[in-house]
Amino acid sequence: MRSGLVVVVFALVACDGVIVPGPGGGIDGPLPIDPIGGTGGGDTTPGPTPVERACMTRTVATQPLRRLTFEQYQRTLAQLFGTLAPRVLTTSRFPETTLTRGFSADAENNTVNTSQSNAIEDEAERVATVMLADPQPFLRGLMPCTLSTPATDAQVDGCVDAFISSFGALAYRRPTTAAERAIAKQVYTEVRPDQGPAKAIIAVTQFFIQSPALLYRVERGGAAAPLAGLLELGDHELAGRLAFLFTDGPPDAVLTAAAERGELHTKEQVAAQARRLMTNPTFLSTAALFLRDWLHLYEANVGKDAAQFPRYTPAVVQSLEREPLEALRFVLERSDKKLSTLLGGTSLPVDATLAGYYGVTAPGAGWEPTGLPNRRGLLTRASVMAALAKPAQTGTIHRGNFFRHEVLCEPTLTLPPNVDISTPLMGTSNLPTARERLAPTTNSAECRGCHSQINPLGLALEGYDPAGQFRTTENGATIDTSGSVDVGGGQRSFQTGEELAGLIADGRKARDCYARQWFRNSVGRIEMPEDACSIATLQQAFEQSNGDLGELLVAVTQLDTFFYRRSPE
Amino acid sequence: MNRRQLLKGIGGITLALPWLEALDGGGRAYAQGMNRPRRVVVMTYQMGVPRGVWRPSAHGSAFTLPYVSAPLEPFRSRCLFVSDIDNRMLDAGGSGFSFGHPGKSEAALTGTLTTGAFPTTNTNALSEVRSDAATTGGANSESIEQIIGQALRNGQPFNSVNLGIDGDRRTPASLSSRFFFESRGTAVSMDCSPTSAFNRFFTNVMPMNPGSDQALRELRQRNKSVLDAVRREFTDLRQGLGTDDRRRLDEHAARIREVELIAPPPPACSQPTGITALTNPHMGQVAPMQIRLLAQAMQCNLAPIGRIEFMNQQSPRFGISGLDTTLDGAVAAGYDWHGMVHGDPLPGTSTYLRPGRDQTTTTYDQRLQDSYRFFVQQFANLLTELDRFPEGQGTTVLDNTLCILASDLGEGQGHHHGKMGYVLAGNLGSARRNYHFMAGAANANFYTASTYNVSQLLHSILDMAGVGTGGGGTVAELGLRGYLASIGAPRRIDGLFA
Repeated sequence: MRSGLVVVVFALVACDGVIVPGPGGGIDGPLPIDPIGGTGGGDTTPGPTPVERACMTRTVATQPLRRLTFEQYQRTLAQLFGTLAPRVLTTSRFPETTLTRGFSADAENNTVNTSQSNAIEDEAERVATVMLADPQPFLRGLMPCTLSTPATDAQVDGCVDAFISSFGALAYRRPTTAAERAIAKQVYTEVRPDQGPAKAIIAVTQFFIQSPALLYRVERGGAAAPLAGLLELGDHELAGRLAFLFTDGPPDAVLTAAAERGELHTKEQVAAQARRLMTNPTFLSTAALFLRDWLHLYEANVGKDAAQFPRYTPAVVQSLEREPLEALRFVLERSDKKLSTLLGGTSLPVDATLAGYYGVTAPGAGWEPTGLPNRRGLLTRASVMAALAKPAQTGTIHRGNFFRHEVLCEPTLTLPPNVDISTPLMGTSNLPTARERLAPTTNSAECRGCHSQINPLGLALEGYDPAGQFRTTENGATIDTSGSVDVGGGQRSFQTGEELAGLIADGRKARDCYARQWFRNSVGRIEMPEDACSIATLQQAFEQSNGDLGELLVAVTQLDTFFYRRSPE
Repeated sequence: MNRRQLLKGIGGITLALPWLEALDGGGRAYAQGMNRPRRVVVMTYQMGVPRGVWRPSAHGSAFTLPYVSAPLEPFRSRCLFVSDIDNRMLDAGGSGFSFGHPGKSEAALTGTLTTGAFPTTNTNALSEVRSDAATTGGANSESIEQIIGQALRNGQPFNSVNLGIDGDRRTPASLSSRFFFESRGTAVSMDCSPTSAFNRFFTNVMPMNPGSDQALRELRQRNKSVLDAVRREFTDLRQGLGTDDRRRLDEHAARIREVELIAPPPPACSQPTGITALTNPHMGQVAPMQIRLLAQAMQCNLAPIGRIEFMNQQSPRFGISGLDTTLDGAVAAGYDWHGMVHGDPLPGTSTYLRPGRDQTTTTYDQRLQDSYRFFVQQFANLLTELDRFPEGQGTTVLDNTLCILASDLGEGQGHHHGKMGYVLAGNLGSARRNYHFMAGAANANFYTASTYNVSQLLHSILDMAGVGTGGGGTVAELGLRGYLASIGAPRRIDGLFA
């Protein structure tokens, strides 16, 4: 997937020594620290808490219209076709989602160019062609009436309105309007005379699965919200938000039924559904998609230099792709559900392939928690370290900047205006370790201001080579991975990447950042100033749950940004 | 006959172009008696221009072309070279946009920043750029060839022909462009497999061949009914939504295919030949195929816009033996073409590859020159291909095509947006040919501001195409709105015109 990723990587890694903001950059001002539950020191002055300050003006930012991602469209088709889905999901022409920033569901990652518009049309035509090849099972499976085998023309004609209502409601994730039913009925009316009822029904199906009401998550809101200028989302709209957040697909029958009963608009009702959805088998893979996008795990597909890293085999890559999901599964289902365990746990799962790659005794069948020397948590696992490295280089600056910007959510660094980067870099390529190679340039007076914040993180990770293997030397010289970092509460020293991971996992900044990243993922956009209250509230809730991953997601559903939208201008 | 059936005709080596005649009438009406171009073709690559060996020797018409630009010598009378021009608008985005690659490609043909620099809803105005502007996302507006092509479109079956050449030695079905945008944040998909592109444009592209004439008629009837309904649903759905949401829906709706009858065309154009599948090809293998495909598509008038982009340029191979061997040998040390562009010494050496990196280096490494010359050569090859096809009275497809060669940076060493270079060729309306326009002082450091900006060049190109404010179109201010006014600069460069 994501044909554009390679160029994104290119932009980021192209210039060691040049400060490049990471993707997903947004409002990166000082993180609000809650003095009540925080471990990071912070604000001790009397007066309102950071949350109270952020919420002095409660509002929400404009929510852009989001188109379904590739995965969401597949899950929509699966729901629409039910037991017949395997017949139509064999291949897909639907355009893949290309990340240019943030998360897959970001509205800006799912715009539609001409090629993609044509691909959506082709996908609907492809599905229709599958149906045309053997229409009777589809008629019986999709139409909400009792049909004979084969169905008679009269039976199909008599059921078309019911079909449009039921299939349309499922496709649009809400009851259809009379105008929408009329549009669909016109397709049937136009095709039926020349081609018969079966082909006409298939044409209606072809219409529904490329209709903008299916492709786009349209949210209009209804009644005025208690906050000025905002509208409350309706029950079906909240059902959609819940479903896409937790299952990356359309609402299931329980959500839809609750919405139809009008029982999906209070915070309690929404929270109850959120907790239920986290038991859905799809939830885990949905949360793993978050990890994939947050940690840029998709970048692993650029591969490694085969001559240098012969052990980085396709089998290893396959297991590495699964490693984050299995780590998350372990933390959520077999451990304490805490972020500190996901990022700093001493025993996360490996399979036999990865055990061999890491040089430890293989567990039994499947994935089992295994302690790995010189590593803690997911961030120092090979899946992450390899994804953040170049094919033949570790990408010290990139790794450091990524940890700083995406894991700790530190502010974007700004290049001082007086720096002349045309100044020749020192010829350091023959020096043995990254620390020595980078020192002449990044320790200079004009560069030190920024690189003193980036380099320690990247150099700590030099203990993991471009393929994610642990190492202690480079070019025969001992790698110095020591440094210090502020993970919340002041500078802390570390000697190794493993120690760094432990500090990050236990620090307030990582928890606040993780909450911020989930906020970005949930709204599908970069945060805006109007989101300050929601973000501060979310961070506080996460802190008060001691970093409980499940409670964080419930808290996402309790925010103003989840319940309200701005009135259209 | 629908669009797909029409294209089946191309596979049969026959395609007529009745719309060409209609275009002739419009073209002759173009200002100052000049023929308006019928189409626009753009080729892009990354890493900028090495001024010392790229820039023509003098401002004006009495110039010689140095080594890197020399492949364009046969076309110099039909070219307009623009050198030492800045894309200073990027400074409005802060330091993230000032150095390195982010935002540069996106700005080269749009004159604006990326979507990450703006709030979700915006009008692409200078006043709206966020104080914490991020370089993420696509360009915040459409690129110039999109504006021109839409104005020139006249019944062609495709909006555009978009072909990529992947420096990573793959031939993926498509990659997202870094230079070309159909609208805000919406990058063009580039076909990177010549065989796939051939199938798309020159063979029976019907995905599900219905197998008989009756089946084809039925398919067409169903598709027309379905797509008409989709359009109606777009119209219904947009009611009551906000401005930005309506824009998104409207842009999508405008890209839905037209399933309409087109009169059967008489024989006129043929398929490109020699389009074959390749494994791990270097750019020198893929580029000729894509160039032939594009030129043939333009001759067949399949679209008003043609695009070729050299993509994924961190560590490409060129098909130039000395250069490729060097890159092969150095890659294990983390060295690549990008390092060469910076002028870094080859691993194990201490000699810089370009002037300016130290006091003693005064020349460009030959391999660096060869790499840059490669792209100019490909542009020359494209012009050659377009010039092979007669079109009109004593003229060729090239004479009816506005051609642009563009890159993202100025001098590669600084990865800065100062002192960039563009080449224009073909039908440039009333603009000068056989001309080199130097937009800044010859030996200025690339941080020293030039007299002219890319935003002004883009406006000038609109005028050359006859779709600017003075040429029959109603194109609003292009690029980052308010930027030129903020620096007190005129909208176009008058010196480019005769």
